[in-house]
Amino acid sequence: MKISSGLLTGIFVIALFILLFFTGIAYRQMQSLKASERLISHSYDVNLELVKLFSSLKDTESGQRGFMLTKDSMYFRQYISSWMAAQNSMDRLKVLVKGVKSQETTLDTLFNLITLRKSTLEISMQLADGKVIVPESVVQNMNEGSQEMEMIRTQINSMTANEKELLAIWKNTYKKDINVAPITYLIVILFAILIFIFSFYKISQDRTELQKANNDYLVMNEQLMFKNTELKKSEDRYHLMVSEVQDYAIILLNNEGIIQNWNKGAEKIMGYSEEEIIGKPISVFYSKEDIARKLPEQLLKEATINGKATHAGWRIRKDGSRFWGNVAITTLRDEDNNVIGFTKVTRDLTSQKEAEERLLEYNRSIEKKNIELLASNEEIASFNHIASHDLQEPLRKIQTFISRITRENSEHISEKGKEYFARISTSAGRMQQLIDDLITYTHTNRADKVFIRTDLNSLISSVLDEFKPTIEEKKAVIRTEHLPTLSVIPFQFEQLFTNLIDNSLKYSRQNVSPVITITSSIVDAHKVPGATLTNPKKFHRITISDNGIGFENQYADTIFTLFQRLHGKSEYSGTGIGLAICKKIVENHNGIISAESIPNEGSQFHIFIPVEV
Amino acid sequence: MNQPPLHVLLADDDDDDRMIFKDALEEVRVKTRLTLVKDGIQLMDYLLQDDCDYPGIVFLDLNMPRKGGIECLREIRSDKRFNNISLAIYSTSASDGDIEDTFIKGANVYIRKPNDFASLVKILEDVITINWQYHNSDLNRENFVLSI
Repeated sequence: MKISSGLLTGIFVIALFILLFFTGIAYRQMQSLKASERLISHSYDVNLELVKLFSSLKDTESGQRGFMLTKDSMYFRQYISSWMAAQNSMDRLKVLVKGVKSQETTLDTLFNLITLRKSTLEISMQLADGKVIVPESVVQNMNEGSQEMEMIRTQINSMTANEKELLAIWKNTYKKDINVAPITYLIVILFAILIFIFSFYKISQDRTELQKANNDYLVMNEQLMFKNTELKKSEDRYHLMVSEVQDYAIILLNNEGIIQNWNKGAEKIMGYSEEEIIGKPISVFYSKEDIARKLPEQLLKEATINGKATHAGWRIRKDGSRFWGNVAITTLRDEDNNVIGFTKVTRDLTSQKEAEERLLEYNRSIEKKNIELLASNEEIASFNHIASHDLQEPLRKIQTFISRITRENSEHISEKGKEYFARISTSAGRMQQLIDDLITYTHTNRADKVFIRTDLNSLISSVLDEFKPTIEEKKAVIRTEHLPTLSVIPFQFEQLFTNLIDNSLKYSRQNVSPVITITSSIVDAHKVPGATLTNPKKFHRITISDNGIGFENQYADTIFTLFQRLHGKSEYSGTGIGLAICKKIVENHNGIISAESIPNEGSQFHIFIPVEV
Repeated sequence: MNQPPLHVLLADDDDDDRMIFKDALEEVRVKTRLTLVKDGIQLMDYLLQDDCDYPGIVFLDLNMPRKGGIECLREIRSDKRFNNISLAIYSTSASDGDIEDTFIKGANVYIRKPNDFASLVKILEDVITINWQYHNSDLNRENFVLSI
């Protein structure tokens, strides 16, 4: 049961008033009871005094009579003292009935009668003074006195009756009061008990709640203390961590950019100790130029707007040397979103920056070299062009003039001369071929290599078309398996197959029809001679086999070298460039070419091209 | 055969080649008259003169001093007055680049100078007897290079 403290106070105030009210009633009843009691005892006193008065009056009469009869002064003294006692009682009664109107008037009447009686007694004594026989006047007087006594008695009785009536009334009131009082007290006591019980209940309840709340509070307090300790520990750890961080300068700034906090990293990077830097503005780390263009202010402004600002640039150490700082500024705000400061984390990336610059420098030098290389390549290309053109021109002319001589003047030339002219022409032709091959060879170096997915079957068949006259002439048989589709430079692969097939047709055995077989398979890298095992893992192997004159296996590598010839020029035509071109082409395709042979049985040329993943 | 002789012009800086060409042309069984110039400047001077006798076909060497064949080709093909002149490239080398370039720039035929005099005569005869009006309409790369 929850009672608000206001309501509770109200209840208690009302209860207090009720209690006071009942207590008031009880008090008044008490007072009334007391009054009734007093009145009752007063009434008894009045009756007693009346009886005493009457008795005293009788005593006066008996004293008077005794004195009149004996003339003994003892009786007179009795008479006097009785009057005094009567007077006493009268005074007492006067006091006692004061305030009771009816009794007062009755008492007045009584007192008048008593005064009359006294005078009657006095007269009797004077009349009888000195006389032995009681005169008539005395008797008469005594009769009068007897009547007066009777009247006094009546008066006293009336008073007593009156007093009785009053007593009855008071007794009744008293009785009533004495009946009501316990109820009132009971009510007061019960009500007090009720309030007491309620208060006790309330207090004990509040106490329980308070106890519980107190316990809760204690537990909470303990938890809070624990958390606080943890927090403190964590904060300490954090502070320690921040202060111990060596590679980052972690600085706390106030909202005006004044340094508030400093760590080891900051000391290490910037060179200032904590004492000399705290209270300084961050602009001390910036160069004059950066300060002039208000970079520090701009960064703080940016951080204020965006919550964060980052910047990389040269900063100044205490000793004036510079370092490449990578700065991140984060804005700190309070609960009302007011900027209270900034954290500034700076990293010294000078070595990285320098490495980067070295790399840039290196790249620039490579670029320069590349440009030089390109220029020299272009020079070679133009040299090639000129060479092919200008070197071939004289040869062509030699051949043309020889052809004119042998055509137009053949009858004037001896047979020997004709043979010499033929030899000159052949030499010139060989030289022309050499130049052509060299051009082709340098051509395979050109940078404009465009790889296109090419079906090698159709590529081979177009190459074979070119050889049709030779194939027919030599009655050659060409067998081709299904070949893969590869990403290659088409004109180079055409050249490659042309050279290899040309080779096989050229170096055929006399009186043996050439048989050329072209096969294809996929092999693992470890089966490829000279291949690095790491990458790629698989290769296409295209093999061109013939049944020609072959060669000693010891020459298997040298045949791919430029101008290497194994046979005399007179036996077989050839410039010694063809296989060098083949090697270059295969290498252009990240491949490997190899050859194996058994003399007079045939040769095998293997082309290995990496399988695309 | 009362047709006027075909006006042939050769631009070539090489004395020998001019001589061989002249001799070969004389053996061609078509009546021709030959004008010889030694380089591109002379060629353009000749063509741009007033009351010029326009040749029917110009044989153009590529490698010439002062002004080369490619430049002449471009200038001729950009001038409407020379619309009726056929252009034959006549060069020692036949690189893919040169063939491509001259084809795009509007040459009619590409001749590689042959080693043999008889071949030259035959080629000249073929070139001269081609009906260029007809030939131009289906000019393509395949028949651009005249093989020996």
